[in-house]
Amino acid sequence: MNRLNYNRGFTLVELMVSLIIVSISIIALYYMFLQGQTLMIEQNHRRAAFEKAKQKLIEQEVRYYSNDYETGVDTGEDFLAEPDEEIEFQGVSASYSVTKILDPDNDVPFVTVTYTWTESSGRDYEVTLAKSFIKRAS
Amino acid sequence: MKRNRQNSGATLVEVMVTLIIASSFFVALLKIYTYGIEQYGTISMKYKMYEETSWAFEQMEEIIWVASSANITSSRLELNIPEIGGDAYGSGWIEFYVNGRDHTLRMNDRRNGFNNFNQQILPVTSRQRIRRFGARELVYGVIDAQYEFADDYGYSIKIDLTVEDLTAEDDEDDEVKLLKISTVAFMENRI
Repeated sequence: MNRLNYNRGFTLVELMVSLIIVSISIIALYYMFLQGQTLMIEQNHRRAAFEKAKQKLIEQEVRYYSNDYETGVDTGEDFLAEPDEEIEFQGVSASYSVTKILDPDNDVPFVTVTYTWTESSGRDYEVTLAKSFIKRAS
Repeated sequence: MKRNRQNSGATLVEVMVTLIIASSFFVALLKIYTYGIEQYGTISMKYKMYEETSWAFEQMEEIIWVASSANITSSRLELNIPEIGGDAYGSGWIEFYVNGRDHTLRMNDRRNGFNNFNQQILPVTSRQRIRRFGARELVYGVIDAQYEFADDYGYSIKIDLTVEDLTAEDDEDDEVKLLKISTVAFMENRI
């Protein structure tokens, strides 16, 4: 069959090449959207961890000043015996730790609360809040 | 050359024109999206700076409340903390200063020795590895802290903090990059 050049459509090879190019662009776009979404989700997690760390510090302070703790005041040992623990927030598993330093000479409590977690993207995060407990004059 | 209209496919010119229109459309959409993400990044960083600076202010205000006296020298605030309530609370000096090398606001609690509790209070997060499209770390730094007595009698202290979004472009204006925020705290325990 004699086929005129100007009447022929696209060949299979041309179609395949254009499909591959389009697919690559779509995949690239998809990853870009995914990255944007990941950024937003991870920012939310950071904010949640920050709020949790704040709450935890306040809890520690309230417990300290309400004398609801195991006495370690004289020795400077852990005055709020509380094990490190794994917590869940917004679908992320974070490890949480509280470092407490109590100087035996001056009895100044200094507390650090740290949340560390790894996002599904593989990125590591850490939020650390520290506070010297200072009682207001009554 | 005569062309049979019924059998004709798209000509190369038609295909090219369609492709150019479609590409422009997609590029425009993409630009809108990336602009949105950038705006989100900027606003999110501003919010983070504000949130964490407010936290730092809370820390400072608490200490100013109990301070019996204050020294203000060249962007450094020193507060004398008296012993309150007997044996459970230490007395001595606590100072706040900006470390120019790493752009952090630090609190040096000298009640336990000169550098025992020298703590970074801003930026709050000590480690964060967020990368915007693999480009840079999302961080901010403390550029300046100014302190002054807010009244003639030295009962209150005004704190001005300037923090900078280090991820913003260099040519962006100050309103985008900088957060200037102030507070005034009363020295309730001043002798």
